[in-house]
Parts: sequence; structure tokens; C-alpha cells
Amino acid sequence: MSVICLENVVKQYGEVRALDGVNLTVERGEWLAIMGPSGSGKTTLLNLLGCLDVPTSGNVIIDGRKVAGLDTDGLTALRRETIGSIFQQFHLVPYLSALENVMLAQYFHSMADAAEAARALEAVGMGERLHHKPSQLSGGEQQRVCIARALVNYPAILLADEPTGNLDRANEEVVLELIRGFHQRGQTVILVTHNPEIARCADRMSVMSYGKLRACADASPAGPAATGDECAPRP
Amino acid sequence: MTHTPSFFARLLLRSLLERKGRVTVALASVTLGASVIAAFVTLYVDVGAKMSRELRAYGANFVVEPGESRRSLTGEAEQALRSLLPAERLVGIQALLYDVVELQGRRLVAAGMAFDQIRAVTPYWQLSGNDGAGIPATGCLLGRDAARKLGVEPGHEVELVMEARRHRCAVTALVETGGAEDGQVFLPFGEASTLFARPGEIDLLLASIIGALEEAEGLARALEQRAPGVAAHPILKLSRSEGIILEKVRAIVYVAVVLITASTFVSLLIALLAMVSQRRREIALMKALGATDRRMRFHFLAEVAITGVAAGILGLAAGYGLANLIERVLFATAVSFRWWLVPLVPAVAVLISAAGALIPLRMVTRLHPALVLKGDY
Repeated sequence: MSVICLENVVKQYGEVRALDGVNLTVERGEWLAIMGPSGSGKTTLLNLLGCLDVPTSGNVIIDGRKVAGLDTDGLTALRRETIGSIFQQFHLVPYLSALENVMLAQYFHSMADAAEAARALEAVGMGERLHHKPSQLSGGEQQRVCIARALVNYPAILLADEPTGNLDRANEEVVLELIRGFHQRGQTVILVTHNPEIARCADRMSVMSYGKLRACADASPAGPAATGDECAPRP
Repeated sequence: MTHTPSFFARLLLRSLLERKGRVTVALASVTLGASVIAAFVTLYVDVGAKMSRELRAYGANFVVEPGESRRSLTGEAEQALRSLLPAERLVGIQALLYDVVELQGRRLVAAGMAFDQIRAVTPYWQLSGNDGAGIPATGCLLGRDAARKLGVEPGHEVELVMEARRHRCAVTALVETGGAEDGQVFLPFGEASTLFARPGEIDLLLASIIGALEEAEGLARALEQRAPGVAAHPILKLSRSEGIILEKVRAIVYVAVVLITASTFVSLLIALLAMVSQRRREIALMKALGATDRRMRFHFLAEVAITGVAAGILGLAAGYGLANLIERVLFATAVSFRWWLVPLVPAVAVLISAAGALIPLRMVTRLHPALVLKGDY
């Protein structure tokens, strides 16, 4: 059963067609890397996958639920329950500590739990930095807090937008290792990157160009084949 | 497990402390508005009584005379009037007894009165010749014109004659009112009763009372029922002027409160709009993390409500101080604290804050996380 299914998805902003008939199926537990130049439509695609936007036409089905039929609250609920996000710019709340930033995601999901948030930070190697503010953390540390925040609610899908874009080589390795660990537990990862080396960590790689998924190839020999025939929404 | 409400409180506190500058601006603007509103509402309530008391400088505004069937009043009319009015609304009451006497062969009007009520009922009387010793309790007072014609000066002893009765008294001061009193002589009420041989009688009661014209008219009707045979009425030219002045003062206070509420609203709106603009990325992130619009509105309103309540409490204290200052300058009295302002002023401050937050709240609701976080997600 696919966890993400896009059927002939179009997203139009005025005259500009940001997505032009995109079809995509991602299996549960699959790691998909999306590459492409700036302005190719990667952000728009991630907005749709993250339930932050709805398509102009076509079907987007996330974890068995059709996005087109949902109102703002429904989209928010689906995002809250299903998606974890890692941003290139980290987007931590500057006046909250690392622990509170992770608790923030719990708070909006269900209930803040300091012990569980601390465990999530320990899992990304930030156990010694629980009460540090973002300004007191390095870029790599901030990204690890961002990963802990994304994973603390056990999302079915992890969306990562250039997660290593602002990191040095050592921190890049740490972050990739954390994502790899998440994937190895059977979770789905969609990762946007400009770096082919990082893209090769994924099971499969797609390339966005002019609003179309122009090429789709297995990034690794072990990657499962993507098919488009299991897009039926959950009853 | 940490409970969500405590995290909510922590989030609110951190958020407010993070933006101390802007929160202080919002707090100061609502505090200022709340304090002026509290002060003006206090004055609005107090101004009637205080202005009315000030306007008593014009003298008596209520008259009680014998009815058509009677020659004079008795002490019962005065007692009835006192019993109908709370002490704080009765500035003074003067019982008068008139007759004509001879002084050095000249006939002039003599009036018996209570000297200790002169300041309360006829505060515009100018007394001279007693070296500023205040109004004497004994002796007699002589009108300035009468004194000049008779060549009498303060300290002289005079003899008042009526038929076969004589009354000697020392002139303790001269009276100047610019009216008929300048040609009259005044002596203590009891001595006048004896000299005129009219014990227990009163010709006229003049009272200085606090209250609007309608209240005075109501009092007159009540007095006429309580003491039959008397005719009571307010002095219309004074009571009506008083009413007009009070109406104008109240209208000014009302307009001032409306303008201050509006200006508080506008400055708060500007502060909150700036605050939302500054927090766009934070709001977008919270929405991206799963916060619904309703939850964001609740969070934002909670911040505004905390600011409003704090501003209301500060404004109440500052407003009471301001009202006290104004009353001391204008009326030389302290303002009475109104306990009903304790819930009212913070409630008004919260309402103004909530109204000021409406447009910023729409901004929060309309903020699209995908657009704000564009390029990063």
C-alpha cells in the first residue's frame, strides 16, 4: 500500500504552472530523494506533500486520505498526525530551549511530555544541551533539535528540505545517519537535496524540472520499484 | 508527564518576555487608556455631587414659606425638611424671622437668624469690621448702607426698639451683599423672637441642598405632604443653571472617555499589528507543526488578555490617583473609591484589547505557512 500517491497533479499560481501533471507513488517505508534546480517546483511539491497547500487539479492522497476533500483544519490535522518536517533553516523558536522546541511539536500534536521530549533529544545526541537556546547551539546542533522535533510524534512520513544544506561535512554525516536510522525503522522519507551524494542514500531518486517529475530512477539497487496502481484512498 | 496547560502557560510567559519592548508599548497604551477612563468614570460619578456642592457658593436654592392658610411656619417645618434629606445633601438651613424695628429713630428691617448658618446658606455675604474674626455668635450684624446712614461702626452698641420692647446689642460686623440686606440689621434668632414677641414662629426657611432640579422638586412635594400648610419650592434660576452646567460637564467627560477609548484602540492596534508582523515566521512554524487557526487565535488572545488584565489593574490604580489629583485641584476634596470599578476597569481594558486584536487576529488566521516558510519547506 502506498503512503503517498499523486495523480496528474497540477498547481497553478496565476499564469505560472508550478506543477504540471505530476504523478508519484511512494511506498510505505520507502526513501525518496527529489532533486532539481531552483524554481523547478520542488517546494510546491513539498507543500502539497506536507498538507500546507492543495492542488489546483488532480489527486493527492496522503496516508490513505484525499487532500482535496479536506478543509484547513482537516489539512492541519492530517499534517499533525502524519508528517514530520526538517527545514534547511531549522526554524527553531528562538526564545524556547531545545527541550521546549521539541515539546512545542508535542503540544500541538497532543500533549507536551518533557521526559519523552528529552529522550528524543538524547536519541539525536543532544542530551547535554536540553536547556540551551537555539542561539547557544551550532548549526549542526540546531538541525539535530529540528530532527528530534520532527520525530517526537512518530510521524509516518518525514519531509526533509535540504536538511544538510547549512551544515559542514561532519554534521552532514550525523544528520544523514539520523535520517537513515528513522528509515531503517520502516518509516517513509522524502528528501529534497541538490547534493547527488546525499540523494544516493535514498532508495529512489526523482528529478523535478519545469514542474514535471522528469526522471525517476532507483538510487540504490535494493530500492523498491514505484508503481502507480495502489493509490486508492483508505475506506 | 508534563501537562499541556503548564506548557501553555510557559509558552505564554516566554512569548511575552521575549517581546518585552512591544508588550510594554501595548501595556503602556492600554494602561494609559484604562487609567484615564477609570479617572473620568470616577469623576463622572462624583462630579454631580461635587459640582453641586461647589455651586452652593451661590447660596440657598430651596425655599419653604407659609402656605396660603398660614401666617408663619413653625420649627416642625424645619424638622420635616431635615428628616427628608440625608445629612450629606443638606449644606445648610436658615430659619428667618422678619419685622420692622427702630434704630436711632430710623425704621429698618430686622431679621432673626442663626449666625452659624450664614457661611453655609449665604456664603456670598461679605462681613467687615470684625478683623477677620469670623462670624460672631452674639451681638448684631448691620447692613453696610444702614451703618453709613446711622454713623454706626463695628464695636458700637445700638438699641433696637419695637413697640415697648428694647434690645441692646454690640455691632460685631457690617454686612455687604449688594442687595436689600445692606439696609437691614440682623440678630440671633432667639433674641429676635423675644424682641418681635413671636415665639416659635418662622417666616421663611432658606436651604442649600445638593441635588438636581428634579430631586429638589420631589423634595418640595414630599415636604408639603409631611408638613401640611407649608409651600416649598426650589429656586429655579439656580437649580436650572446647576443642571445645565452639570449636563455640560458630564458631556465633556463622556466625549473625553470615548476619544480616549478610540485612541487607545488605535495605538494598541498598531502595536499588535507590528507584533504579528514580527512573529510571522513563528506563527507559520507553529501552523506547520500542526497548530489550528483556532488554537493560534486562542494563544494570541490569551497574550492580549493577560496584557489587558495587567493594564486594567495598573490603570485602575493610576486612574484612582489621577481622579484624586483632579478632585484635589478642582474641589479640594479626596475622591471616594468605587469598588465596582475593580472588576469594571480590567474588563473594559480586556474588551479594548480584544477589539484591538481583531484585525491582527485576522492576519494570524490568514497567514499561510507555505508562503512564509517559502524556500525552506
